[in-house]
Amino acid sequence: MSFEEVYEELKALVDEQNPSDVLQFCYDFFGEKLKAERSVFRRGDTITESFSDGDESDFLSELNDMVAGPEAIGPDAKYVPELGGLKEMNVSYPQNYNLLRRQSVSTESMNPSAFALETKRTFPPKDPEDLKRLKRSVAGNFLFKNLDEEHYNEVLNAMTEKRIGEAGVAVIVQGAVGDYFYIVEQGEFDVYKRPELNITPEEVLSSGYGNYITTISPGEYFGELALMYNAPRAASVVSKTPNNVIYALDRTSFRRIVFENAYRQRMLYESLLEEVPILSSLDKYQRQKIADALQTVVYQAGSIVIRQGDIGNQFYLIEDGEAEVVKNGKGVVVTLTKGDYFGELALIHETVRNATVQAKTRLKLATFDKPTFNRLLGNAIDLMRNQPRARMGMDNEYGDQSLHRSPPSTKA
Amino acid sequence: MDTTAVASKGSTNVGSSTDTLSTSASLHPSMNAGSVNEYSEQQRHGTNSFNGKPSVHDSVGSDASVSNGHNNHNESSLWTSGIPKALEEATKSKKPDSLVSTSTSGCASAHSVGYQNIDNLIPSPLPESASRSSSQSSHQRHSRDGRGELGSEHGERRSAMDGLRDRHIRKVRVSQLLDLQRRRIRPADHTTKDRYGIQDFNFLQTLGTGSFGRVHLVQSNHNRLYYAIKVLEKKKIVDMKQIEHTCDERYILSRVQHPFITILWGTFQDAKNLFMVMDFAEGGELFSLLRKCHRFPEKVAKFYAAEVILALDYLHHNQIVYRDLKPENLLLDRFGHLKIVDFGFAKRVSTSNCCTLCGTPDYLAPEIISLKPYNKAADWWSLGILIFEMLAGYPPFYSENPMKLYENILEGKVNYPSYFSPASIDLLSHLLQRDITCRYGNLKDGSMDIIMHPWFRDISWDKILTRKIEVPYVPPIQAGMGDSSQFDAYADVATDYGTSEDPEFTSIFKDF
Repeated sequence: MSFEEVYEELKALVDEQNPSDVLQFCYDFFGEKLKAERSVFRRGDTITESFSDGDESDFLSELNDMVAGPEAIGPDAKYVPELGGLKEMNVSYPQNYNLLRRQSVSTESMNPSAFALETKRTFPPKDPEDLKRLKRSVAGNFLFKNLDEEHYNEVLNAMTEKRIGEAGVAVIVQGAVGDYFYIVEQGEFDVYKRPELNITPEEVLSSGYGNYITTISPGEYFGELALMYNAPRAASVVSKTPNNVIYALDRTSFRRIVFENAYRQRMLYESLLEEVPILSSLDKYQRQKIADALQTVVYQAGSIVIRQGDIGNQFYLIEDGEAEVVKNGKGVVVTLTKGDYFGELALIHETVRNATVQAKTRLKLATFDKPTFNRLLGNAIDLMRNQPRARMGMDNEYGDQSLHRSPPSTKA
Repeated sequence: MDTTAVASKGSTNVGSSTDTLSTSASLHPSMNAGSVNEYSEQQRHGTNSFNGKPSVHDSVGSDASVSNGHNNHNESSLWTSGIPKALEEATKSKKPDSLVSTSTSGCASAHSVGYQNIDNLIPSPLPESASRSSSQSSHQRHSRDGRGELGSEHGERRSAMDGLRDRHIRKVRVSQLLDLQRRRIRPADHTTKDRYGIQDFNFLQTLGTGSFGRVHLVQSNHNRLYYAIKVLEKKKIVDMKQIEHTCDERYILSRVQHPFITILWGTFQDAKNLFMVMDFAEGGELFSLLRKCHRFPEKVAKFYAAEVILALDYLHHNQIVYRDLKPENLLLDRFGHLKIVDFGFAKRVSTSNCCTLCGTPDYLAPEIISLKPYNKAADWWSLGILIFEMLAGYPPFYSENPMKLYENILEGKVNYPSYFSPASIDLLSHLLQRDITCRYGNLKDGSMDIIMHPWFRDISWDKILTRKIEVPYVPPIQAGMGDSSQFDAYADVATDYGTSEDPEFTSIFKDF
């Protein structure tokens, strides 16, 4: 490339971009040119490149390239002396992005193994109609999405009814601690917000709620962030009508129910997995990885989980309910219940399912598949394959490769 | 004839590959010199500071034992016992030459002891004979395959094979390195309590504030060196039900020892407050640098990410989750290397999973938000957010409304800016992976999936760990002068430090 060509190119760029710092612009331009040319040159001897284990000189030269790298060219970046080798680069921040330091958040520390020992708190059951209505209210909220039927009811039963007789009562005040989540049963509430950051509730109460934002009607909820952690309330909610009824749920009760159940389920998984002979070559840590990976699936009565003759790669544990094992020509050979498992050989071998498993009642299963197993534990499969017990599993009493009953001791 | 010719060519190649290894080996003595120099600063802190208090001696002794104790493979045992036994065995098995550098300095810094060992081991990641024979056989296979082919094609094939073998060697080297760094831990009876008192320090300006207190720059009245003291208000901790987190923070920081993790020198308390004496990282927060630069070029982000990854790997292998990764908690030391600070949410997770929601909203993993018990995989998610934020200048999930933010995280849709390289996008898509059974760091190879990812191909991990790599940015500070120019100014408030009337909660915080 001749000098004239380089000059022409640079001139065209300068004319086009009209940089404020011309010297810096030229510097970046030549740096870029040089780097491009060198990289072409380097490509010639890739063999030595592949041998270098991130050669230091390479790394350094590339660090130097950062100063005048392709990313730092022209209008994309600005030279700031205090930044040393670094530069101020162009970024299009998301709208309203807060560039300030971010505060950590935390719930109260909780130890589920401790409260598993305590007696479970029970709440008086609510009217089924009320439950249905409450459930509909929170259906779209992600905090409630992972709850299954019985835990859902448990959480909703833990909600307490509150009556607010008059209009103009503040249920939550901006800046105050957030401990409760509310669902409106009857009446309407207005939401107001002060624009100031970090305003105290005292200031809000003494000098006004601020700008009107929206109105909350029956069936809607507010204050849901309080279920996650204690953050200052972002707005105030004030009753608009007289004779209001709301349901309140506090964070501690909510999280306790959720994690108590999660903990019980986890303990159940771990104990069930311990009973599966084929997994006995795994250590505790590996079994925990599987317990982490188990997915809950629910089958309605009558639906088929696996079908004889299909090729399967999933393993199932029965968490709740009953399942019937049906063999072609033989009818129901056995009924499996909570704590039983089936399909475990699919984890090691490509197996053809030798029987059909059908849900007899509503059936809650925990399942994971062979690809997941491979990803998480890899060659642990080889260990399992060489186990005599794994081979034994193939000749169990039903003469079935993919069905197995756990010892009676696991049945709770 | 043909075969032998190529085979001999192969063997010269083996020669050159062992050369590569020995070159790096020959680099190490100088590296040692460097690292001793670098750490001599810390040695001075350790030996001279706070006169007459043998602060570092105990930790050095056991450190050597741990890094030498090859029998100490069981991670959990690090937390329980076996330290004296390991020490005994280590003294037996110590090679005399590995002690040279440690004895010259009298009380060698913990770091140089550890890395001396690493250096001794690195040159032979594979048993000498094994590495030779395996590479040779691969070349022989080659020669058979390659017979009759054109020279150029042959060359390409050979380089592809070499590339594979090279990757394997690199992987073995890196895993050996990680293995060593993971075993460095201070003994369980390492006490931090009452080693210092408020009278030992002159409290200077505030470096940062948090929910329970603030961090001060302080000067030691004994050795005149500068430190940072984190002051926590006991009543606030109790009110906000963070007792367990605070006690865990002290315990974990008193046990960990890693180049990229802040050092806890000691703790003490007065009637109302807890005090934690730590290193003063003079370069300020990575957060401030990032906001000034707006975003980092890939090379810079990669450098900081690499240091964070080594620290996380170390913590995880010692059964600790960190849980609050973000640029605000990464400080730069005077050389421009990272120090992870604020272990307020760190937790030991040997057996159980975590279920306390904690962290920083932008960095929370989906499993934490959706109220599932979670584990170390959540830290790797946060690493993904951190890398994204360094490259883009802003985090991948953002909303002013926290509930909307959490919905975005659960949805998991990431928009990668056009200037992200394909390799970085590939890595991030494996870290910002909602399904923890697919998330890098949590799979069968653990952190190796991240460390060996192509995005880090030009990172030399042993040089990162020994801090023998040129940093992308050296903080413009006057080292050792208590220069806090890299920190934001905070309004100073009247403090009640040192009061002894009505001591509160002393039984709860008895270890401070």
